[in-house]
Amino acid sequence: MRRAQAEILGIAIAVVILILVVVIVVGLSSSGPKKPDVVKEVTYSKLAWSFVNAIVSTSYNDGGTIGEALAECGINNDNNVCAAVNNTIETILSASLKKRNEQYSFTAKYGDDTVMSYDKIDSCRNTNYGEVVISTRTGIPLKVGLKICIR
Amino acid sequence: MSDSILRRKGQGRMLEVVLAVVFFTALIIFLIFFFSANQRQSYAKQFEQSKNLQASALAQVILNMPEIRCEVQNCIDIYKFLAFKEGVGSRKIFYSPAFGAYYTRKYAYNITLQVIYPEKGTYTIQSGQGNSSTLFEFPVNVYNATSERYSFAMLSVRVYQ
Repeated sequence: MRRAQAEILGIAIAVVILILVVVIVVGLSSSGPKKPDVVKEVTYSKLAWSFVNAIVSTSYNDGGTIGEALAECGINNDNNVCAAVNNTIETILSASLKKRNEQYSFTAKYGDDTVMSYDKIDSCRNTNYGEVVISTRTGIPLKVGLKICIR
Repeated sequence: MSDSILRRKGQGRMLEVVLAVVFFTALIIFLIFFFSANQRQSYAKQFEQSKNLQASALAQVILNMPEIRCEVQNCIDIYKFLAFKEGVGSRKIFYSPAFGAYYTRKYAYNITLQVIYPEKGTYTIQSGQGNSSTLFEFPVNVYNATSERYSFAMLSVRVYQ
C-alpha cells in the first residue's frame, strides 16, 4: 500500500514538473523579445533613405551638389574629383552617424561599377537599407545606398 | 483497532494534504511572480517605444511646418528657423496644436539643428527641461538664401517628460 502511494506521488511530482516546464517555455516564447520592433524598423528604414537623400542634395563646391559630383566621379573616373567627394561624404558620415555610434556601410554605383564604398559594420544582426537613384547625362543611373545597423 | 493507531493514521493523511496544499501554493506564487516580471519587462519596452514614437512624430511635425520648411523634401530654411525660434516662445497657445499636446500637458522639448557641411553652426529652441528624456535625430538639408547653398544638418528633438 505504502509503495503504491509512493509511486503515485512520484508520478504526480514528475507530471507537475513537466507542466511547470511547458508553462515557462510557452510563456517565454509568447512574450519574449523575439517580436519585431516595427516602430524601430520603420524609423531606421526612413532614416537610411533620408541620410542618402540629404547627402546627395547637399551643396558641393560652387553650384553643384554631392550627387552631381558623385556622377562626375562615375562618368570621368577622375581620381582628384573622386578623392575630394569621398572625403566630403566621409566627413558628413563621421559627424553624423559615427558620432552617434551607429554602424553603417555606404556605396555608390555607376551602372555596375562601384564608384565609392566603405563598410563600417563590424557585427550586426539586422540592417536597414536606403537607396537613391540619380539619373546622369550619359543615361547610366548612379545608385547611392546606405545600410544602417538596427540597434 | 485502537484509538491511538487511528489518530496517527489520520495525522499522517492530514500532513500529506497540508504538504500538497503548501507545494501547490508555492508553485502558483512562483508562476505569478515569474509572469508578472516578464510582463513588467514587456510593458517597459512598450513604454520606451511609445516615447520614441512621440519624439519622431514631433520631428515630423517640425519638418513639415510651413513656418520653417523650404520647397525641397526634408529641408529647413535657416532664416525661417531663426525667425521661428524668436517667435515661438511668445506664441505658445498658437503653436500648441502643431506640437500636439506638449504644451498643455506640460511636456517640454528641446529642438537642436546642427549644421555640419558645408556651413557649420548649432541652433537650439528650448521650451524647458525635465528628468527623463527621449532623443530622436533626423538628417535634413538646411537652405541658406544668402549663399544659396543646401547644407547637411542633423535635427535633434529631445522630448522631456
